[in-house]
Amino acid sequence: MTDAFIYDSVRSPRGKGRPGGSLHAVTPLNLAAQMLRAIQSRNAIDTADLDEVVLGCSTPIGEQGAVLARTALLMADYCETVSGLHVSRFCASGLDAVNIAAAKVMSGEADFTIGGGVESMSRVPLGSDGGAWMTDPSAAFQTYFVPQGISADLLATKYHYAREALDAFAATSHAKAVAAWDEGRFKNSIVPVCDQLGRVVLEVDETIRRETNAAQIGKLEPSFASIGEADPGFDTLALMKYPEVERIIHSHHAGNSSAIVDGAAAIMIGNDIIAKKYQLRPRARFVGCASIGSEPTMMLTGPVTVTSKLLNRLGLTPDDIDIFEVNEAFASVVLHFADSLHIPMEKINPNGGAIAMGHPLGATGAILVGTALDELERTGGSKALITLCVGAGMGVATVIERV
Amino acid sequence: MPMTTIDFTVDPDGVAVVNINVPDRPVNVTTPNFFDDFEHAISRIANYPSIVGAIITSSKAGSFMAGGDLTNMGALFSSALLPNGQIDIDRLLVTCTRFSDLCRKLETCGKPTISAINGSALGGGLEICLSSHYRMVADDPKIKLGLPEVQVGLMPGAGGTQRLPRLIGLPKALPLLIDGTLLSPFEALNLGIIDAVVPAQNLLSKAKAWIMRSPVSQQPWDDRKFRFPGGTTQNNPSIMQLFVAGNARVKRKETGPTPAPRAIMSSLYEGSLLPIVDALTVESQYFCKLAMMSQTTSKIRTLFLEKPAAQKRARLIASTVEKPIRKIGILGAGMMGSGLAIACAMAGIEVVLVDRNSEIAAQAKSKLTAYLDKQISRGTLNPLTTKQWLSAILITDEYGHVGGADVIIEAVFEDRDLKSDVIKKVATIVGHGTVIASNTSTIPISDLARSCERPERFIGLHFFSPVEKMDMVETIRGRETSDETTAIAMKLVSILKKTPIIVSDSPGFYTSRCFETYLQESLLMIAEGVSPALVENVARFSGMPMAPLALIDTLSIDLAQSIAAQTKRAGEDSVDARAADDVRDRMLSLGRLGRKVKKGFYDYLDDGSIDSIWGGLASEFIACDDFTQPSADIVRDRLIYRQVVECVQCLEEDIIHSPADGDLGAVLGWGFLRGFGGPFSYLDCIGLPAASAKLQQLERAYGNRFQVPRLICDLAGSNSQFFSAGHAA
Repeated sequence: MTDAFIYDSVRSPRGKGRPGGSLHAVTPLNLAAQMLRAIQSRNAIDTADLDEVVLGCSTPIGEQGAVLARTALLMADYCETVSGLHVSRFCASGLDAVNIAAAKVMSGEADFTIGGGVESMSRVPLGSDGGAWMTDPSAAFQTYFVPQGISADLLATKYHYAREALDAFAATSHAKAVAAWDEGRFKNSIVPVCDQLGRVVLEVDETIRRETNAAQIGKLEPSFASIGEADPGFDTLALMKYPEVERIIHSHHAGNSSAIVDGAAAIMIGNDIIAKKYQLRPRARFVGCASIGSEPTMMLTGPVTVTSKLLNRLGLTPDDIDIFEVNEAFASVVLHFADSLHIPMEKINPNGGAIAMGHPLGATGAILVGTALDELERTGGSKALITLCVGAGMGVATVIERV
Repeated sequence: MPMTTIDFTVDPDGVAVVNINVPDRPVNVTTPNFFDDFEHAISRIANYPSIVGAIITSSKAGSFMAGGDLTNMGALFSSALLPNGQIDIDRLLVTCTRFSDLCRKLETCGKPTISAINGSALGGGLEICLSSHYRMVADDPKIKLGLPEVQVGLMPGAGGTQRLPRLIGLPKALPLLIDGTLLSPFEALNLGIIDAVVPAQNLLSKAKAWIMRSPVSQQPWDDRKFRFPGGTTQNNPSIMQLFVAGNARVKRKETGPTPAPRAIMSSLYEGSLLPIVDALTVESQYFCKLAMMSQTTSKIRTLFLEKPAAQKRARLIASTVEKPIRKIGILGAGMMGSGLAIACAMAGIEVVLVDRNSEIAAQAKSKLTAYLDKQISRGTLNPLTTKQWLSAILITDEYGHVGGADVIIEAVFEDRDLKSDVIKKVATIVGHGTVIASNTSTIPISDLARSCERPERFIGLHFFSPVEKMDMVETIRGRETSDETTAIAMKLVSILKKTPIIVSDSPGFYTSRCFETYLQESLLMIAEGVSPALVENVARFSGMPMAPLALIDTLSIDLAQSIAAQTKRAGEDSVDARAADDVRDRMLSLGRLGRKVKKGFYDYLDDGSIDSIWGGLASEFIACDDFTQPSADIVRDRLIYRQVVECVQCLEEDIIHSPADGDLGAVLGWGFLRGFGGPFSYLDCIGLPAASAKLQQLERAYGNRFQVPRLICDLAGSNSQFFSAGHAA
């Protein structure tokens, strides 16, 4: 099989995902196009050589609909011969887009691709596409549908992660993100976002709280107690599926869950022909990727299962991986991942994660690939594993290796 | 063909009046004859040029139409039953769809139609109204309007789930359909379900005036420009949320099989995204699917056929007694005694409520007053009549006052000596004709009868708590109980509008004996080290009205122990029973008596509400080393099948005399397998061979208390079941 290499990665800073957020006035189309333009100009590539641009977007309706990838590449003045593909797998959309872009190269279908993602959560709200899973009674009943926050609280309850542990982890995420920014660890990939006049509207991740600590985070009210315990009472559904749990302790809140943000990312992928043509040095190689389905009510254990599956297939153990980027959808997801696979916390999200910097659903997977690669280069590490939990009970993972 | 269920007339102005009048029925119901006549009437309205429009109304006072005829459910199936026992789905669908098709014909007949609603329009009755072009209701607060099908485990099948939301929008329609809410005329008017409320005497003239104004004869949903009021999941995020939350609200109540609300949700969701004709097809399919489930028919059989049949039998037995019941003496003013006192007073009987303990007697008075005040403040009772009831109850600590009572009910604490003592005492006071009934839930009646000089006048009447809510009266004939005594007891049961089953005398009778196995099995699991949360949650989610440990806490461990002791039959001292006793003994010795001391299997907060399962349980009852927690299915099977086996054994031993009695006693007594219509219906639903196989597995793993009862083997062997197939009745 042909090797697929990563030649470059860019990402936007992440803006608060609500009116008033710095990227709120930037359309998702524009946001994605700015990333595509940046990666083209940084590497001075002739976009006519590109075969495909794959973009993840979790809520592809309205202005994020109608294969935004194709529209965005046209807006980025890419050659019209480049095709665009939109990918949606909830929170893993961005990583799936990168995996597909890589797989096209590995299979020989393409020489040169871009994988990435975009999500403007301030403009196209989470869940606004509805979907049969939660609205169609036949699906909701059969799958014991509960919102993800209830799943996170169920996970924390079943595996005994107390509120204090979750808050402490959240505080660490901010501290690590602050340190990473202070040391300029993201500077290689960050592309500031500009307005129509070319003025920078955002150049740092907007949700990081420099002064926060576990005690401060500890003051926040749980977010899902009301919909869980009162109306409509999702806790009962979770207990029907997990009757061994006496009752759900609601411990997640805005401070120990991923922040809602706007953001975009792009990863340039190609075979060695591209290296020769543009005199580019491959930065990393795709070692492998995998996806799994897991129990949908608990929903968030996918990273554990998919990591085991992928490492087994590659003949690797967690010890062979230098850096794990595990999406911080909720604090309990990361703690459960670390404990289940016996991975030391130092190896996980060394520069913070979505609790501090936000989780622009469709883009996060691609952002994490870039973050992992930058960190491998900074530390001289070899392999990184990127994984995300996914709605409806799934998991996606990718292993990259520096070359 | 002459119509037998509709009086069809046409007035000189060409206005047809369709007077629904189903013969031999107290209220109008949809029978096969009615469908024939209705079809005939619609075709006349459509085809006779002289007819300009039609008024649909009723000749029956108070009833426009009450909906489906539940006694017909059996016929519905037998008509579609193939010789091989399978159901011919196409044929069943045709039968199920007939009424829906007629309603569609009505609204597209080309002439304006108006429902002049002069009595309650429920279920199919309201569906006829919804498919007419205008709905006018008489200003009579007694009239009720609604689609209550869900309450009998069904759903509207003639357009109710489609026309109601198209009329008033999904947010208002959904709860009405899911809860089966009944509305007064003005409530229905405010919701937009009906168009006008008019004085009763003007109803027909106003209805005619509407037709003479030559109004439209097209439904809004047949207009090309029709927009679903309030939108659908496709165009309104708040409707999406309505379903996200609505699905959970319905699902969380799904303890035991309740397929009807689910089918209603799906019919609303899918139907609202389709044009009316396709939407009606979707509804018909869900209706048909629901009607095909054996638990739907068995639940209807138990609750709506067997229950009234049992009440009717009681009235028949009671009819041999001419002497009225004027005065009743109730011994023991606890919760049960007080509840009975109110129930009897409400039925117009003079009550003497005696408690030897004057303090308890005094408390009973204030408790009764408080209870009635609460009902008054809720608006369920009228202050004037409640005052009369209270004055009909004499609360005293003097036994002498019960003299002259027609019936005595003994309702003191469940203790053999105490009961014998008060029975002996009261027997010397009352006259020869007085029936003495014990409300014991466990102690053999023939034993207690020994305390009575005239054992033929002694009987067991096991009422359930709370009396005002629980319909069941387990009636126990002792060895010497006379027919006349039984008849008088049935008279009392009938007056109180309760449902009796007559059972044979034996420790624990039927209900307590079977129910005790539920508690015993759960205690056994605790003894084994099964997670208490697992036992409690699985029990609750399997449709048991209350989780076993929470229930023991509520009863208190000392009472639970006494029930266990009393239901134990002679010679029965199994290892299993002892293991369960050990758990009770341990809790007793730890002083964890239950809710009354705020600590039992659970810890309780100061206000008496549950805090959490007592953490000490895990260290008190330690599992053996290689113990792994069972699956939820295993826990469920143990809890359910243990009771089922006991029920079948009671039938084998002739404690109960029919599967129908067994189902009624279980469903109305301890809420067991209500969603299936009771344990015997449950066995039929899952199939006796499948049940045998499951029991064999359980026996191998957990012991011979799960041994397949002989009766199940015999029935399965002869390829039959407890109730005949394809019939609801």
